[in-house]
Amino acid sequence: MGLAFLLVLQVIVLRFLLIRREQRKAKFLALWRPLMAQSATGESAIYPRVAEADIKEFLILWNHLQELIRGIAKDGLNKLAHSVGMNLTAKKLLRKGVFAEKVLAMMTLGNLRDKSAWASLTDLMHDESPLISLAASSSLMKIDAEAGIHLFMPLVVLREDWPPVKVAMILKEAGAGVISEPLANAIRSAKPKQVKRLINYLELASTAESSRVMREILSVSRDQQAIATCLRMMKDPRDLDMVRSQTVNPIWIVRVQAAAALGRIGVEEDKARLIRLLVDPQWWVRYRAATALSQLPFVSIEELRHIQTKQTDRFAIEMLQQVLAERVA
Amino acid sequence: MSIQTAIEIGQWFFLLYFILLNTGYLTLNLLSVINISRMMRENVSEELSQLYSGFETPITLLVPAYNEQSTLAASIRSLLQLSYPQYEILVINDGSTDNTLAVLQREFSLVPFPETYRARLKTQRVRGIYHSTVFPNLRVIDKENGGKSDSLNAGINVSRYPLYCAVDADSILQRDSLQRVAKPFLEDSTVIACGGSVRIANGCQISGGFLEKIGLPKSFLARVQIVEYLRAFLFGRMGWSPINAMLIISGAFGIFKKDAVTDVGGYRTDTLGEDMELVVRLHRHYRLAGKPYKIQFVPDPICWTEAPENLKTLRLQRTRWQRGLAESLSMNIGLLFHPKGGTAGWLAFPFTVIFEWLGPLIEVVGYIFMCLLFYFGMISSTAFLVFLLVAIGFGLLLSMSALLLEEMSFHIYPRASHLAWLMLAALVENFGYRQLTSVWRLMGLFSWLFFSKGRWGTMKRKKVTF
Repeated sequence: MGLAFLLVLQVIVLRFLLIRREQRKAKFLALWRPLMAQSATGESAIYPRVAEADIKEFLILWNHLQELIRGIAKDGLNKLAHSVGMNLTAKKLLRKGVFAEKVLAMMTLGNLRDKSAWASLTDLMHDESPLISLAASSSLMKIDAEAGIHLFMPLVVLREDWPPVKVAMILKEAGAGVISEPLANAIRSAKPKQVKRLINYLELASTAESSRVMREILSVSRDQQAIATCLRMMKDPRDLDMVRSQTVNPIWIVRVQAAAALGRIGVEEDKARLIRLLVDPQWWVRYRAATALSQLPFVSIEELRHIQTKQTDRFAIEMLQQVLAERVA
Repeated sequence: MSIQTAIEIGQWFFLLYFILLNTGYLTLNLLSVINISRMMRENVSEELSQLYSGFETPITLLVPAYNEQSTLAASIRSLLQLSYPQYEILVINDGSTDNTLAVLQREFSLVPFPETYRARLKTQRVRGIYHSTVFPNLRVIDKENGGKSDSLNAGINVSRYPLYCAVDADSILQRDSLQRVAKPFLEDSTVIACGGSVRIANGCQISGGFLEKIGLPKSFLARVQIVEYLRAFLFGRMGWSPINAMLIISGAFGIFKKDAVTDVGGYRTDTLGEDMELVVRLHRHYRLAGKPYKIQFVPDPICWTEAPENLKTLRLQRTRWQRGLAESLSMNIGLLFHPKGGTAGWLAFPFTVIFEWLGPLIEVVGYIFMCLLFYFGMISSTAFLVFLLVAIGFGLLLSMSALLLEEMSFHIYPRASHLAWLMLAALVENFGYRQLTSVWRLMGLFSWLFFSKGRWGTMKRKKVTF
């Protein structure tokens, strides 16, 4: 009972602290939100000192705005951060802060493009925590993507604990121009298990580079999942022969992607291949083949109807009927 | 053995049972505190990355409906406003005998669509599939009556996306519910299912199908259930999730990987607890096959549902839940202490069998036994007090710690008076309410043992205005 009473007290104290925190936050936002908006538009102003207790709120709001705005507006926000000394505060938090403060500090230094934090961030990229190491990587890439990618990519290969979506977001922000070659090289020298994970990022690379790597994989790999992934991304007409050869692959997940790829890059003579796939035993292959047929720019609705009338297989007829209805809708 | 010895053994048995029960829950509570603290610590970076990543997996929302002509259209309109990059809504009209289909046809300009689909799961006959000409992401399946599980299976067959979300037609979602619960799938490819916290909507202000303002219900019965839900979700689920042993995802809102569910045969149609049974079966299948998998829980309050405000409806709900639990566990008993069972088979399953499945029987018999002994002067008042302290005092401790977890994390009840009322509810529920629900759960256990199953449970609700 005593323990229960202690818990009641703790709940009350927490609520009291919450009310005070929210009051303070409301006051902080009323003051700083307009000032930050003003700075983003390039207007100069004299900024008040940021109280010690408001530093976390300041950094959250400032980083939040950084995520929302683009281009020159970021410079105004950066000037504001420098003028209130947040670059120095962030570096201090990076050294001495607790977990959340460290993450905030890394985000801040990344958005400030602060090169003096390079060494600390490089160390933190190897941190055990995926959150810390990814935040450090993201900041490093923001500061200098061209230099950062050579530190980041080897870790992308090794760190299986990094959520792929977070890695993809960093690569996407860096841009195809920066990531294509290092990514291609990383895939070429990676182990088969790593290749399977890495090829998904090829979607973010330049078409020329990703096509080259995918051709290499398709010519040597026996991993059906990897082949299917490559086919899913193929959009270069020069790869038609490779795609065509996979329409008869015994594994259906590969045939599905081959059919879909033909819908993107197929030519007149591929119609017959897709029509053959309309009677595939797998529903998804039939569906993708019918969709691919309807996507070919030279196949009109009338021609699709004509293809349908020529079919004798019930599944093929029904699938074309559905795809025709989808196209009309 | 003398009567006195038997009484002493009985006393110790029930006392030890309640000590073990509450120690188990306190351990779960401790795990939740650690987990919530970690989550709140990491929350800063999450708060700043709420925008879409562009890599979200598309989701099919499955909305089974049976005779819901008066509320379904409004529910669907609110589902159409969810913020998620790519999702479709698939309403499954399970042979309604009212005008559910006609209302949908009129409200959403539905037209029949000649759709073929891969019938991976066996279901009652599908009479037709309709597309909305106004909302391209809305389709309706009209099928013969087969129950909720059968409807969900039909929906899985027709769904187009790799993830599906089973949602009750009367659930109230947050605009970002899908985004929050789909996140674990983005971060870890071994996640096959994920559930979120369900909260009670009674007393809240709802507008356009969304929650506008959080409040407390006037009914004390509903207030008590708020504390109960906090306990169930904040440390029931939150405690098991980090060790990958959570055995239930609420049927009101949960996201599943479609392939994982079809691989295990979809929902079983011969149980009332289809949501729990599926999750336990997924554990059994993946554990025994040695495949890597995760079933996760997102503690964010993402789904709001109406709680019963009268005893009769509450009794029906609790007996149904207990029956569903008994069915789910008995159908997957092979997971219990299986050499490959892991945390699910060696911790969560036995815990649930002892304290949730058989718990009501032991609790009710324990209370009666101890009260009778005290009444007839066969045990001392000190011994009786110790028993009450363990049975009720610990319960109070657990309820208070659930409130503490809520204050540490989401603190969604904005006013201090809300907190005061919830504390009072947490206190009072231990004196009568919990014992009453134990009796109802015992009735559910008997109904599982002796009676055949019912279908499409009907709940008398105060109408939720969308």
